[in-house]
This record gives sequence, C-alpha cells and structure tokens, in this order.
Amino acid sequence: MRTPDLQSERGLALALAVFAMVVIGGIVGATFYVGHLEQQTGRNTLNATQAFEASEAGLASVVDNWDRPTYNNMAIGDTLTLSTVSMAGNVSYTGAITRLNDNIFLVRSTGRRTDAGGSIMAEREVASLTRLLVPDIDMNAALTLNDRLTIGGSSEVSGRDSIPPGWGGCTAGPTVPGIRSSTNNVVTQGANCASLNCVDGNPEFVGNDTTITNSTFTDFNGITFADMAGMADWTVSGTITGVAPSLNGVLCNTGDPLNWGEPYAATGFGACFDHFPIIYAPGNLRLSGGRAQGILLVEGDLELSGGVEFFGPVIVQGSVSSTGTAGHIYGGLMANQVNFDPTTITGNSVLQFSSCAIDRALNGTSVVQPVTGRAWAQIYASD
Amino acid sequence: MTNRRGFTLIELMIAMIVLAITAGAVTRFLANSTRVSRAQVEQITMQSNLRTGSLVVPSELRELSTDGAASDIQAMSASSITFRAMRGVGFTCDVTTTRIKVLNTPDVPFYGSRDPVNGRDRLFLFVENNPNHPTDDQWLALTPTAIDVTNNCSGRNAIMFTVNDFSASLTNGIGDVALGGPVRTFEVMELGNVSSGGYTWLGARSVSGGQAALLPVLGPLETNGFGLEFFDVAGSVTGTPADVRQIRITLRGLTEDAVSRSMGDDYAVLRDTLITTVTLRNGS
Repeated sequence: MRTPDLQSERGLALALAVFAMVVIGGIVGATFYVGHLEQQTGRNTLNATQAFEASEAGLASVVDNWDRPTYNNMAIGDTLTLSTVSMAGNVSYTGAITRLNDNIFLVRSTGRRTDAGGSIMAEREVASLTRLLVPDIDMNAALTLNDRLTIGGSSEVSGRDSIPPGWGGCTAGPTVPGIRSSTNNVVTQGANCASLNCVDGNPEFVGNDTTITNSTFTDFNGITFADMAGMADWTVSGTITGVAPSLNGVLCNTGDPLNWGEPYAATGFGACFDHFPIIYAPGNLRLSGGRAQGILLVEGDLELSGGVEFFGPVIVQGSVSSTGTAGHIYGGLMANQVNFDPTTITGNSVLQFSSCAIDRALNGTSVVQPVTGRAWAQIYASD
Repeated sequence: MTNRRGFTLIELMIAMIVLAITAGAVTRFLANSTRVSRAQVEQITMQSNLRTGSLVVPSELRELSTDGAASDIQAMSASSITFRAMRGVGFTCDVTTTRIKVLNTPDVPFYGSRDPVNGRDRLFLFVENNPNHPTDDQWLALTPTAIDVTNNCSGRNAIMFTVNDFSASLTNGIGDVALGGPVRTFEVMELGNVSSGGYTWLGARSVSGGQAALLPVLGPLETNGFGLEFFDVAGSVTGTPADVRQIRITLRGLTEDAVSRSMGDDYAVLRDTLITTVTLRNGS
C-alpha cells in the first residue's frame, strides 16, 4: 500500500484565503481613503469658515475702532495696512484702509486660518465701503443764540473768518455775522460794547433771525446732537480746570481725559495737533483755564473762565456765561438757551469765528459708517 | 491497481459541496461589502453636494441689498429667487454721463470673481450728490452697452463701461459723482428647482445673460428639494423683498441610485437635509 504524500496534495483554501484577504483589504483601504477624504473635506470647510469669520471680525473691529486722527487725515489714494491681530486657534486677521476720495474709504479685512507651523490653510477677504460722517453744523456766525444776550466788559465778538496761528491748509472765507439771534433782545454793559461796538462782522448783528429754531442746535444734516453725544470721547461734568495736551512717550496720550488736543502746533505737544475729541457734558459744565480743541457739546449750561481757550464748535443747549478772565473760543459758539436764561458774554471773552477751526474739528471728529445699501463686499483675488 | 487509494465519489461530492458553500459565502460577503461601500460613496457624494450647496448659495445671497425699493431681490418664492448677484467692486477714475472708467491696477484693482462681461453684467454707480449729506447717497443702476477691459485711465489700466446717457438721473450733473467712488458690477441670477434626467436639481440661470432656462448645477435633490424662507428684521417670515434680512436655505438631497447599507436586499434611495441661514450683510 502506498501512503499518500500529504506534502504534494493541492488545495484551494490558501488561495481562497489570500484572495479574500486582498479583496477585503482593498475594500477596507478604500473605505479608509474615502473616510479620510471626507474628514479632510470637513476640515477644509471648517478652516474656510474660520477664515471667513475672522475676516468679518476684523472688518467690524477696524470700523468700530476707527482711528480718527490717523485715518481721517490719510491722503486720497493712500493705503494703510494695519497690524495683524491674532485670535485663538491659529486664526488671525489683517485690516487695510484705502482712502478713495474725500469721503469714501475702502476697508478690507483678510482672515486667515493657519496650521501650527504658520502655513495658511484658508484665507478669506471681505470689505466695507465706508464714508465719513461729517456733521454739517451750520455755524455762520461767531455767536448763534436762541434767546437773550448780555454782552459787555472787554469782550470781543468777531465774524471775520480767521485762521488760527500755525494752522495750514485753510483759506479764510467771507466775513459772517458776529451775532445771529432769534430775538433782538440784547443788553449791553459798559462803553466798550455800547451799540455793539465790541462786535465785528458782516453785519455785526442779525436779530429776529427766523431761520434759528430749536433744530438749529440739535439737528445737523441728519446727525443729531444726541448722535454726536453718543460719539463722545469723553463725558464730563462739574468743574474742569486746566485741560491741556499730554504725551505718552512721543505719541499723543489720547487716553488722558484732560487731553483735548493741542491747538498750537509749534509747542512740544505737536503729536496732539490732530487730536480732536468730542467732549460731552450731560449737565452743566464749568471750564476754567487751559487749552483744547474738538467739539464741545453741553446739555446744560456752560460757564467759561480762567482764559480757557477752545478751538472748534461749541454747542450748548442751555445758556453760556463767559465772565472775568472768561473764555476764548475760536470757531463758533451756539447756545439754544432752552432754560430761557440769558447768555452772558463779558469780561475778557473772545469769540472769534473761524471756519478753519470748525472744519478741522469736524473732520477730525468725523466717524465713519457703511455707505448706503451696498457697503459690504466679498473680495476676490485680483488677476 | 486495487491498492491505489483515490477519492470516492462521495468524498468528491462532499468536497464540492463544502467548496460551493465556502465560495458562496465569500461571494456574498464580497458582494455585501461592495454594496455597503457603494452606499457609503453615494451617501458621501450626496452629503458633499449638500455641503457645497450650503456654501455656494449663501455666498451668492450674502451680499444682497434690501434697501427699500432698490432691493436686489427681484422675485422670491418658497422654491426660487431672482436677484442681483454681485460680481465685482471697482473705483472710478474718469466718469462722464456716457462712460465710466474703473481702475484695474495692482494698487487699485478691480476686485471681481471674473472680468465683467458685456450683455451679462450690469453695474451700480455710487452717486454721492451733496458730499456733506450721507442721506442723499444712492446707487444708480446702469446697463453697459459695451465693456472694454483693456482700456486705460491716464496711462493706468482701467475697465471702461460705455452706458447710455444717464444725465437725467443726476440732480446737479456729473459733479454728483465723486471720482474715486465705488462701482459694483452685478448679474441678475435665478436659483430654483429644475428637472433633468429624471431627477430634480438645484438650477441656476443668468437672467441678465439671456439664459432661458435653469441649468442643473447641484444635486440630485428631492422634488422641490431647494427651499427658501425669508425673514424680516424681527425674525418673522416675510414675503416683501425690501423687508428681507435673513434667508433660510434648505437643501434636501438624495442619492442618485437606490443603495443598500445592510447585508440584506433592502435597496432604497438615501436622503439627507441641510439647512443653513444667511444674514444679508447689506440689509438696511
């Protein structure tokens, strides 16, 4: 009998097993590949979304934190690229501002999602067309009133358009009235102001001006007194003595609540020459001494003393009292006198009309808002 | 010969039966694996389609302005929308009442998804009117009669749009348009459901480009699988284009073929739904 040689017996089991393993391995591999692809697609979508959200955050941040002294004074055509701001999770944005013309800016924000090594995984760019909101304060007199006036002492009120010393880029306009009032109720004190001799202008006085109403003092071409108050850099009250510019190193210290800019460029505080804050007093305010510029808004009464100098428009809903060493205003003063108290301009008061001071202050304090209708834009890479 | 051992018929039959059972099991296993794998691929494709739609459609709608009578939404329903789709932003360097030149230089580019195309694209010109009055600003819609993308503006590359005289639309003449101001190009588009090849798809057509019918761009979807809901600033449903502030987009997708995800023979079309809401950035 011959014993069968088991070594030489052929079978299909091994071949079948190998075939099955190859096929199953292929399917498993393909499934892993498809799964990985799906995961990668999801990750890409997440990266793109994060980049887009970052760009939107950047856009809002740039517009909300509009650096008025810097951006409002950009030359037309100039582009300013801002520092990149990093956020959590390897996400960042970079803002850029281009001045397109006198009023319109293009604000761009590029959002990026990077990996841990800094390689860009996704990038998106959005933009907003914004325009300067320049309050159109119809200030065509050194002093605009809505009620009685007492004027005397050594005070001077002039409607001759003057350019403050050291202020360039302005041309003097025509002479405007020294005083415009909704009434003829003016009381003069002393020889200096008899027959309004202390008032200069073209004409010196316009009384019973029917164009002066409450809205003259509250509505400035669609921007209201309240709107401007809402934009205030500082809200103040009580007595403030000795406002003056201050520096933080070589930069203007705009965080100082008593730094209301520097109207005299030639001093050591030239860095604050373009700093024009909006100051808002929700009640009565007494200013004594110092120098300042910008827009001063007072909901109550304003008292000026100590020779305080202010360059720019001053709008008061109550009455104004400038007595003694008094106050010096270069720009224009408006008093609504809602409390029916007379405005008193005596002592060494100086009210000098200056369209240059008004315009510079208005431009320096202007904020931006998206242009009407179609401000937001998705930006595609240019060819 | 009688001593030689061999397989009996019964042994062979048993071996063949075992082999057949084994082969059958392996074949069935492989077939099921392939079926499950295919089902996964179909499902992934469908979900990928929906995901793409949830990115593309909001991207088209996000820039819509709903500024009163000049709303960019021209028609809307629960299953379609006709709107002005923004295609580019540029800045004027020369404007007359019959032509508008827009810079396209490296420092001041025309930002666009593509170059403007005559007959397909239109434009909005920003008219500032009184520069001190933001309330009188407006966008003037113009239809170019010719577009030259290789023009120049004092030696700088520019795109020139020739338009019909629009002086009648200006209050104080061409001075109402401040140079350097923005121009936006747009294309009137329609999105809606369209049937093709026995399926429903998300369709798109360029209305301003003269396309007569919706073309399938994404799908397949369920019947009326592309749905829209419109909400006003208070979050209430609205049917007024000027009131729209948010649009909810629903995409109900299905697989192109019936598939089975189990070991059985329960073939069925897979379905999935993706809902996304876009807030209109230029809603007034």
